[in-house]
Amino acid sequence: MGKHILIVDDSSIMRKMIRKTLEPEGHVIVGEAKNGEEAVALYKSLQPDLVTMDITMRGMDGFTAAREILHYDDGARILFLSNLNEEKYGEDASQLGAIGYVNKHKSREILDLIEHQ
Amino acid sequence: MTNMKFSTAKTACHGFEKSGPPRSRRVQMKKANGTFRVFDFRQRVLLCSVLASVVMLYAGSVLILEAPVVGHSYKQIPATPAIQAPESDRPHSGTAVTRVLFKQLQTRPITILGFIFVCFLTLSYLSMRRISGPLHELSEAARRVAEGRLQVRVPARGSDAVGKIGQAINDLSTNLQEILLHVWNHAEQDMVLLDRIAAALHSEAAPRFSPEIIRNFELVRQDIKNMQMMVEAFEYYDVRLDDDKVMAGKESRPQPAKGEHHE
Repeated sequence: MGKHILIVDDSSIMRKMIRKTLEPEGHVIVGEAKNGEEAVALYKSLQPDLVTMDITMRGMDGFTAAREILHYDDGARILFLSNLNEEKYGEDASQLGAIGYVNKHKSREILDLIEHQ
Repeated sequence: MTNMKFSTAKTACHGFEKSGPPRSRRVQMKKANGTFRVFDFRQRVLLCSVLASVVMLYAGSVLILEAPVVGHSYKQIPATPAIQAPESDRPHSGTAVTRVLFKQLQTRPITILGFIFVCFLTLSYLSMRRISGPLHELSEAARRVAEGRLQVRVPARGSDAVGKIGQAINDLSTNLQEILLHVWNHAEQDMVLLDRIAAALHSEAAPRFSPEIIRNFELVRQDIKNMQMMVEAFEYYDVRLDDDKVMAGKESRPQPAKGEHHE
């Protein structure tokens, strides 16, 4: 079942790559945000099923944005996609209330995680 | 390019300074919020000569044209120098001449035109400064990104052409960082896989492999390390490579100084 997904990443190349990973599987990209502030605003207006969230961004970072979104809607489903070391930062992500933390480059894992939501 | 603080047109006009040896470049990204005023030598010379010619135009028009002024009239200077005009003498002393000139200037039409011209020059100079300041910031940022310092961030500034270039530099830098970290992560993954293969190759149960295969195997590993060295040559925004792990935070490795201050 295709989900409505909001992509948050400050790199336009990365947003394109995530889109190319998700769209062939039938998911619909409802919006793209390039920093935390845009992410929060777009979440409120688009109400997506799921958010893929980068962490290091110019402007508001991913953890802060996730906290704000979860504060607004505690049922929000946020999947962190990051370059940062999984062992070190994955724990922080789950404590925040995210549904997962995956390395950006493990496309298969990303898709599997989304499917099983 | 020399980073000289701009002095007023007057002080710059007295003695055209030689450009001399370039001063050490001062990286001023901290002043991102203020305007960084830079007027290079050529621009200052140009401005001075324009202003000087305007001033000379005034004086020249007065002396050469001798056009009659509203409300005043001049008697012609008599041919015989012995006879002097009774009332409206042409004064001969320096300061008196200046005073007369100045009084004339106040009422001549050309003065008013000239005044408007000077105002125009001032305004165009000021607007040049408003562009050249941010433009200089931009060129500094672009240079730093070109040198591999991807933590640079051009502050958001309006939607004019200068602002758009700044935004584009930020986006380029972000994408460059993304590509490099992408390479890094995949390289790390490959190394992990190679380690597993190596372990399998060297296990007791494995058949003997030819030295050729083992050598090629080592070459692959070298190759990947090489790729990673390229990634390590950059500095990243809010990310550092710490013992092969990608960590959040500023770069802590000392960089070879190129005569520049670090932020």
